[in-house]
Amino acid sequence: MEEAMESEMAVMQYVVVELKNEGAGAGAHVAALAALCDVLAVAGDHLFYAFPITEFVGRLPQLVAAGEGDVPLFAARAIAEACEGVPLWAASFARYGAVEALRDKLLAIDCIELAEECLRALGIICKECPKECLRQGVAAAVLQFFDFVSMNKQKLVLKIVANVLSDFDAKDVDKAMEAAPALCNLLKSSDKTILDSAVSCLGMVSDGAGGSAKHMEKLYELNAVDSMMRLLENNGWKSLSDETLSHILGLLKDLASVSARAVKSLFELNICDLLKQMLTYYTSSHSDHDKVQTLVELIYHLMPPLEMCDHPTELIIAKKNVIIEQSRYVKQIASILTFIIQVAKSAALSSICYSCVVAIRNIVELSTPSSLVEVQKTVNLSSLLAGWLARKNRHIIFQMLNVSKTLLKKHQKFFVETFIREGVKHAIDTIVAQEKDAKSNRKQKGNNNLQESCLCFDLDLETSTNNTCRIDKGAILKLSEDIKRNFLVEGSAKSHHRFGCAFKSIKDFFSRLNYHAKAPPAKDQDLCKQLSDFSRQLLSDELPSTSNFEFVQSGSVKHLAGYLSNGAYFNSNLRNCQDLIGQLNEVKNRLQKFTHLALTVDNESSVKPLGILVEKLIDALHVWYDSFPVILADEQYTRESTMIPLRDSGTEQPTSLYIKFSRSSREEELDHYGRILPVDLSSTPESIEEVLLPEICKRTCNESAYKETIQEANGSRTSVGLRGDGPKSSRLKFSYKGTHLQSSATFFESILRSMHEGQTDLQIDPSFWDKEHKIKYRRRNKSKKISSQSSYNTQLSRVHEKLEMSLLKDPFFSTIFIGKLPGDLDESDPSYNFLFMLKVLEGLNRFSYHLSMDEKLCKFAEGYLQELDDLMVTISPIPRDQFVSSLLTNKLEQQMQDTLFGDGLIPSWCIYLVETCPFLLSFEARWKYFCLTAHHSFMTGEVSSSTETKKYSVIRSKILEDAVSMLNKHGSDTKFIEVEFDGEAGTGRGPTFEFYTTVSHELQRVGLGMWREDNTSQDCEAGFVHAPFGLFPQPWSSAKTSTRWISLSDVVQKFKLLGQLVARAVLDGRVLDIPLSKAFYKLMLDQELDIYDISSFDPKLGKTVIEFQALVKRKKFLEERTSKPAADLSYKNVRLEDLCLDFTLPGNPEYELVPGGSEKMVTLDNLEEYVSSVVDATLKSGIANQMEAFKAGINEVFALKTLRLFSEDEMERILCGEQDSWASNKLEDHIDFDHGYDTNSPPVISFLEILREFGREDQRAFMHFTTGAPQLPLGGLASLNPKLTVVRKQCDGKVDDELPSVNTCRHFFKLPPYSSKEIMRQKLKYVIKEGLGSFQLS
Amino acid sequence: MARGENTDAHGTGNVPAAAAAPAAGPAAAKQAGAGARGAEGQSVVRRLQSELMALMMGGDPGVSAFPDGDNIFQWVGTIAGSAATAYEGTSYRLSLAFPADYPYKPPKVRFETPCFHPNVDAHGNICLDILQDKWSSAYDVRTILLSIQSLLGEPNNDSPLNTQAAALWPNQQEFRKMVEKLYKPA
Repeated sequence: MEEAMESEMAVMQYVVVELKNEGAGAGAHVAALAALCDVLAVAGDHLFYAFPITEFVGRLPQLVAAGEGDVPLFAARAIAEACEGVPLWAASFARYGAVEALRDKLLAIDCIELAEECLRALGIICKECPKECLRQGVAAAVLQFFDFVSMNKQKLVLKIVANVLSDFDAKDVDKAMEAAPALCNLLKSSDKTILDSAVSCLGMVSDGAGGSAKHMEKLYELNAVDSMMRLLENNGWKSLSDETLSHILGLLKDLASVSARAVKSLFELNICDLLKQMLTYYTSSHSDHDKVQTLVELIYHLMPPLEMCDHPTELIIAKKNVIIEQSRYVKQIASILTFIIQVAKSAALSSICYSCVVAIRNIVELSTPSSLVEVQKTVNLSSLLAGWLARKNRHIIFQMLNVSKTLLKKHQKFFVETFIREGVKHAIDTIVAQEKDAKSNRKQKGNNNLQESCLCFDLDLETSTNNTCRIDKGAILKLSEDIKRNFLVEGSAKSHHRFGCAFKSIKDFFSRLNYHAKAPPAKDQDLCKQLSDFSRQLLSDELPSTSNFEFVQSGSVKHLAGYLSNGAYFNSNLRNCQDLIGQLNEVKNRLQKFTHLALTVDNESSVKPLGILVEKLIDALHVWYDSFPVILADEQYTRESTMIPLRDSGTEQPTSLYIKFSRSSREEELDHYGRILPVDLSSTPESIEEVLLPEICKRTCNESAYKETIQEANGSRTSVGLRGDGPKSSRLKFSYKGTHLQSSATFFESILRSMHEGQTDLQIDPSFWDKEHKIKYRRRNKSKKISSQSSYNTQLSRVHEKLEMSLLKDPFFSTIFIGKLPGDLDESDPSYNFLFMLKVLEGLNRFSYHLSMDEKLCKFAEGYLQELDDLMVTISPIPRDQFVSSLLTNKLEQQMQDTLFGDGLIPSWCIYLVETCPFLLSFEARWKYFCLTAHHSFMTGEVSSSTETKKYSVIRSKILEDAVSMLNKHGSDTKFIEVEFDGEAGTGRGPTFEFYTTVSHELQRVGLGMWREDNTSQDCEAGFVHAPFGLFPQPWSSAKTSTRWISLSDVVQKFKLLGQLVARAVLDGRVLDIPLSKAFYKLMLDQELDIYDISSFDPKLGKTVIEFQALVKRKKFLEERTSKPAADLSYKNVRLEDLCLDFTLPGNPEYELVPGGSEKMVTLDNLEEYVSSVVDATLKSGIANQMEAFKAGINEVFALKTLRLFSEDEMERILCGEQDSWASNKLEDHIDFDHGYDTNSPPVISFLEILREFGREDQRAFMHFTTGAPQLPLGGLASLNPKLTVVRKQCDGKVDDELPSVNTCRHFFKLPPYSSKEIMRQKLKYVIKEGLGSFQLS
Repeated sequence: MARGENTDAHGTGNVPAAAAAPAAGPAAAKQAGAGARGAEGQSVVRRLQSELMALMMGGDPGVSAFPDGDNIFQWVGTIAGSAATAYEGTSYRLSLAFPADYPYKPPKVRFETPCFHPNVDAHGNICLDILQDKWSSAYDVRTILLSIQSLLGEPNNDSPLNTQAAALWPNQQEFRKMVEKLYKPA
């Protein structure tokens, strides 16, 4: 070691001497430099301390510049080696002219080797002194011979350019612009990485140019607009990387903002179509808000800015001229209007909404009156205006008033009428009143010092700080009064006519409906028909044409709620009424009648009234934008409302608040506390109470009982931070600055909210985090109200136990029954009505089959239906995604992107919506929420140790056994589990996926006693249970826990394994291949099943028990209401005795439903007992042990109840993935074409294309329609026997009026040769969705 | 995949009962099925016995059925072609296999005698709605046989299994010839 060092030093000395010798020949220099390079290349750290750097810094650049022969090459290499070793030296070299020398050599391009060496050296130097490099023109220089260097060096070149341009002063802009031509050239490159870096470099140039018109014009002249548009067009934008697309859009925006010529080219290149595509794409994906913002800004800059039109500059005039010259540009931009309105409609942030609104205003200004009328008809701009005017943000209100004014100016007659109908006039009146009020208040109290953050200059590029907000205090009042005076005075009186009409007819409708509900329908058939005609007319003709405003103002939501809840909604006293069962039946009755009305359509093409109603309710909900405030902590949105600064936490400590708890002055019993407690952002009064109560109850309470809690609380932060599990009876009341805190909202949120009460915007300074917040506590009074409520609850729960229909136990039903949404939501909040109604309608839609089947049964019992075969449900629910609110989804997405979300900054509305109204949020958003909250600990653990996985080895031949021991040992681990098969080479994802697939297959084997159909599937050669309607547990009698070959405990164990497997698969993102039935998923999600659910997994059994049930009801009715003897009732003309049924479970003679059941025959008299025992054994008692084990298995991994925010369909999607029921690419291999078709017939080609585009649900519906069963056997389409055959349907009339039909025996699908693919798709979708009739079960 | 190799794997693990009989698997399951059809399957047995009585007493012309040997779950039925149809003078044998949850589920019915008919395929499978999704627990062997008998004279030509037969149906003379040609009484 020593020796080596010594020899290195010796070499060094020699080199120094040689190089100083200017007279020495090039050869000597080369030799010395080569030696130097060798030493530097292998040198360790020690050398650099001893290295005589001062000797070289000046000399090497000289040699690069002036050396002869190979001297510059070696000198450059030496510089590169030195800088690589010690980056700090780079600056020294730069000081001695190294940059210049290297640049010159590069430009001289004597030999390629030298050039590459120069690049290498520059690559390091530019990291240290980018500014120096820029000034020396390195950026342009390295790009000059871009095409001549190797691929590797090309990337290096771009890295250098990026470094050089990363941050430059305004005075160096000209130098930076020198690189622009070459960069613009690179936009044509086909290499993706080169393209990406080139775009990003250009972005930096333009950022640095700071919107200077001169430079942007130059960029334009370099054809930047053309090149970038070429990248975007023809869906090119979809293949660009996210970042690059952002850069390009940003560049285009910068160009458009200052260059009229750029605007012209953009129009010429059809930018508007592109924008429309992108807007549609990004608004539907709900997640990329930045992209949307950039797009909106780009649109804004395509037009002359209105704000500044009073002082027109050259640019504005030029832009104006561009647009006005060509009427087609105006048309193009006007066509964007509807798209941007959609963006604004669902914008979660005020800043995005504001940008949209400004852009909308600009477009409106440019549009022709007739096109605006068109827009009004397609997207109902006025209704949205009314909604926006009701918001709190003054900037948005101001701009919206401007839009209203412009609309009125453009087409006064039309818009005055619409404004009145859609409530814009009403909103403006309200604003005037409020503003006047505020004005007089201000005089009394002095100025309110809270100001909302100003959005005025968001869209302008020059951001000088001294700009004052353009909206001064009187501006809104002035503008709104102006509109009123000039446009809305005349004719307003008589226009009330239309409004009054809608109001009256809706009121009338509900009073009649109320009447109708009370009178027995038989009494007056005429009236009945009249009424149902009228309701249909109202629901399907009037409702669509009723404006949102009229809909809300007429109070129809309240009327409907009152009607459906039989008054409970209005009158909380009713909640104490004694006749619970009677009330229950009445509510059920009304729900049934309404379901029938709301889901029936006259013809296949019209929309179901329920769909229209839901759409209206969601639109109305969106008006109450401010009820769901997004609270953000990120600095990037500094303009946004309710902004809090990020706590600057150098440590890893989780963010916490300091709260000082003190005793309320009125409190005497409790102890004083007085300490300051750091609490998690996610702690609520509920959770803190556990900690606080023992501390302050010492005097009165039993101390030891609380000791544990205290220790826990002091020991770890989590105990203070976790939300309470269920509704606990809270004993403390907390208040902050005199306002009571909701027990389920976090302290953090409550404090924030109360700090900015009545304001939309608030900025909190960082001291928020350091100061202590004073919270007062006192003992909660035990009020009488609670006790009466609780006695009501016990009464209700007693009734609950007796209820057999599952829908009566669903939260939706208790909502309508009690007339109140669950939880502690503020009933006075304007959004409450709509949430309530949506909750009820969603439940009604979900249970539409149950409701209408039950109604049919009652009709049969009462004698209105004669035949058991008429017990068919012909209505089908509307798709669940119609209940999704894009605005609320966006808001939740935005909230979840916040950095503090993980720490517990979750506003209470998020929690409330997710728990009570999950249907309002998209599946993707809920899934993200689930990942972020339910597995908080797991997911954060994953971040820190994402590479940490637990490896486990299993033996293929005893895979079930190994799976059990693995999951018992590691099921609840926070690490990912990876599996490898013993003795096989593969590791990683592949074997792990195979493991999950194989185990889920093993659990479907015949003879395990787990599933129904186990007995009937024996003949299958494959040895797997084939359940055509999905797997459902096989009932086991508690009396007989083992048969000759299996025992119940084995079965129970297998279900536990399945539970663990399911939970682990959800957690690790694995996929199972197991066709569980929808009913099983319902059980998994803790929902109840009833008699109507049996048909979903065993249609034949389900049908018969429902028919039996109908007979039971008929018999009861006859006995109670008439003197007619019921004894001659028969089951489809067969006496029940003749069916020879005994009290054993159908298909399982060993399962006795009652003791001695195999000897007890079913008769008409004990039919009721028989039906309820069969149902009970099938759905409850017979599978209770298995389900308990299954749930326990899940609970071992994570809490089962966290899954409740998903529906059964979504659960299946999570568990089984998006995998197809058939392999799309092999479709034609497994389908035969016959009777006039072959694989080349045009209808067949379209048919196959349509099938490939089908999603999982559609595929299943198609299989159900074609084969009679939704579930293909294991192996998919290939194992279908007989093979699916598509034949030509002979059509007599017009082909396009025909529907496809099937022969389920032979799996024939008869397809008419439709004239187009679109028609074929329509017809296919129609038959598979609606054609199933009574089979349609979700 | 492991499907093939693992046919006997699922019982050998932690399941003591199955471990005692290592050759468990499908074979054992089949035995079990047979067991269920033994003395314990009283409900279905009772029902089938009463049906047998009713059939013997009822004396419907042209249809009859008896259990096939000792197994009450497996029957043989006979249908005579109705007069004034193409099947006049013929007699067809059918097999009926009853599931354990009969009458909740229909029996599997097949022609044993080859039958040339639009709704019967080459293997004797029958396409008849009451044997599929229109099945009702109120039906019995008698109704099934009578339905098949009437199907012979009134085929559903809209969804044929045997397209040749369906095409030939309008020409009753030719059809009759084919029926006779393919008719092979047992």
